[in-house]
Amino acid sequence: MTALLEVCNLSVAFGPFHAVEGVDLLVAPGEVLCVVGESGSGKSVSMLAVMGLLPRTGRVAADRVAFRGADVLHATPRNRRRLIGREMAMVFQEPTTSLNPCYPIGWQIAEAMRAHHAAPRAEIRGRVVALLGQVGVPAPEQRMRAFPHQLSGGLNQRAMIAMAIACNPALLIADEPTTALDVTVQKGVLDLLVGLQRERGMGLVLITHDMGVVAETAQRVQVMYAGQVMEEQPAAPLFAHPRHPYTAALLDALPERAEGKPRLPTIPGVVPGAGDRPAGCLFAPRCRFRTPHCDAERPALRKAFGARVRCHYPLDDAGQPTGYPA
Amino acid sequence: MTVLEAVDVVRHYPVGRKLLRAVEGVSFRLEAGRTLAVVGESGCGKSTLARMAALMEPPTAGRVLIAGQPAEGPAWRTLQLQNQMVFQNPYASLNPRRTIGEALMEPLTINRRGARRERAAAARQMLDRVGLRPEAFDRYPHQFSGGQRQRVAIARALMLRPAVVTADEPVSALDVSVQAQVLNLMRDLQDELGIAYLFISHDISVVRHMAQDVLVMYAGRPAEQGDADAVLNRPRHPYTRLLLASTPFVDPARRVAAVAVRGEPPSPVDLLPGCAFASRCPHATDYCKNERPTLRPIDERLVACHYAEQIAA
Repeated sequence: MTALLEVCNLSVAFGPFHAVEGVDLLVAPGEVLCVVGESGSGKSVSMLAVMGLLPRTGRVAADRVAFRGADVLHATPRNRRRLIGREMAMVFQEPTTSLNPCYPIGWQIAEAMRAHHAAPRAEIRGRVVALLGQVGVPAPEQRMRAFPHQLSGGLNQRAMIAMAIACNPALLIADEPTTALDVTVQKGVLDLLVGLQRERGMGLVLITHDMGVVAETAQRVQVMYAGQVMEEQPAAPLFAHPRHPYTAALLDALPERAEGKPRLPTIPGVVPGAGDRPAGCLFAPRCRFRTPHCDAERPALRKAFGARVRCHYPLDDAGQPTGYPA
Repeated sequence: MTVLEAVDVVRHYPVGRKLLRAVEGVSFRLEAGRTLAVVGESGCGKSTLARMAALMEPPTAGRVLIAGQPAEGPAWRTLQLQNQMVFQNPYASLNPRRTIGEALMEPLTINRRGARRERAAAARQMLDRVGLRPEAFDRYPHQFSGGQRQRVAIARALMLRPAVVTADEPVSALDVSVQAQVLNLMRDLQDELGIAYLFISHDISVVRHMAQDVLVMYAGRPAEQGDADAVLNRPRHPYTRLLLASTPFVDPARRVAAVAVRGEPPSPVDLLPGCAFASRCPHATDYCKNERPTLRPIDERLVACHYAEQIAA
């Protein structure tokens, strides 16, 4: 089966700053992939690059970006527009700022269908009502006439999801779709996304910084750090046996995993910025297993223990580095 | 020793001709060296409660006592110094045109504490205590990361040696690895200085880690309050259960059996009679819709639910 989305060696630079470096991505139809990372890890930028939504200051380079086997990166703007919004749709973080405040939400949902001729004009209104109902907006007939400021954050996010799925996309990219929402509302939105993904066999890429959200929704997880993919694994083994020291340290720092301990394990230092990117492994300065080899040579993403890991000494089941100098 | 006490505090704001009932009768006691967490969703009144506790605004009704003294009249200004605040966003809570040293000395300057040289010495000592390098004294906020800025904000709150620090979502804007550093710092300072924290948060895992006592708020009222382990491990209020069931946990064993989430919190302007949670509650009856439950003690905590006994722990 051909992959829905295939990205090879994607890099994005803003001036001298490498926001994304050598990212590979493969999404199969009907799959939920979570891209997780802290702020500045490049998780949003890589997806915006795939969608062609970066400002011109961002220089995008890749060996291949393909949707259903067809090249997206070098597609003409006209062909790209046929794809974006119809076959591939995106949901953004802040529903209240991503929606147009001057139009009712129903109009904005209809706009997506009009732009892509997704439905005969006469049917669009009915489709909007059906979509709002499907994403769990109560009284859709009335709510479609509401402006974004008249609705809560949760309802606005549902309207945005309705807009994204209006043209039956094969792939939905959701960039921190619930970060601005309360937990009880977040739960509803996540259930909705996963439900739609199952029902429609959509591919879903969920970008998040919340490990709990990852654990509860993902099938496969990509962990990003400073613009690189550090580790990739199916969700269950990732949480049981993280193979990269960064993933392991990140999971240890969760208050949830430190029950009974007065102090949380921390990761010393900060994410490297534009000026101080190490020549070797990007995580080495903060890593407890750092060796001179780590500083000298940047590790490649390689297979170990059924995962893909960017580390010279991937962790074994006991959390000990393998091949580590004695 | 009780360092902070709220007695049935109420806060209303006029909205046009109506009243927005932000906080509607909350009481709690906070002992020295302990942490009380206030949890709830946006709009539940937790920040308003924090602002009243820190004497940043007066309650519409009810009283706030700091170190046993009612915060009223001339005592207000001096008691204010006993409860200092740390805010959510360290990018917004520090003046970009002041050096870190100036920011730390300002509370002392305003309150005419010590000579300039003593203030500077106190500020440098505090920098060291919160784990920042001495060079930070002459630097500006933009030269620091979010976690370091939150350290500065905590240091500033401690300059007047308050008995209580009210922290309104102090780690919500920080990444996990940095969040852990700031939480550890807050615990260390508590152990060293015996400060009490009024800790406002929406993150159940953070609350479980930090607090001994919890106050769960819903629509301006306490839903459930008491010992943190009792409330978070054996919740009795359907809203606490919903909150726990909605929180995504990494460990599958922690996940509570899914509760279908429906609806959203009621508008604080048009509150109906009866239990505010009734419209979203799976156990609600007509009685709940008409009769507002009062807070009553059950099983090591206080619960405002008519059916708290039936709701299995």
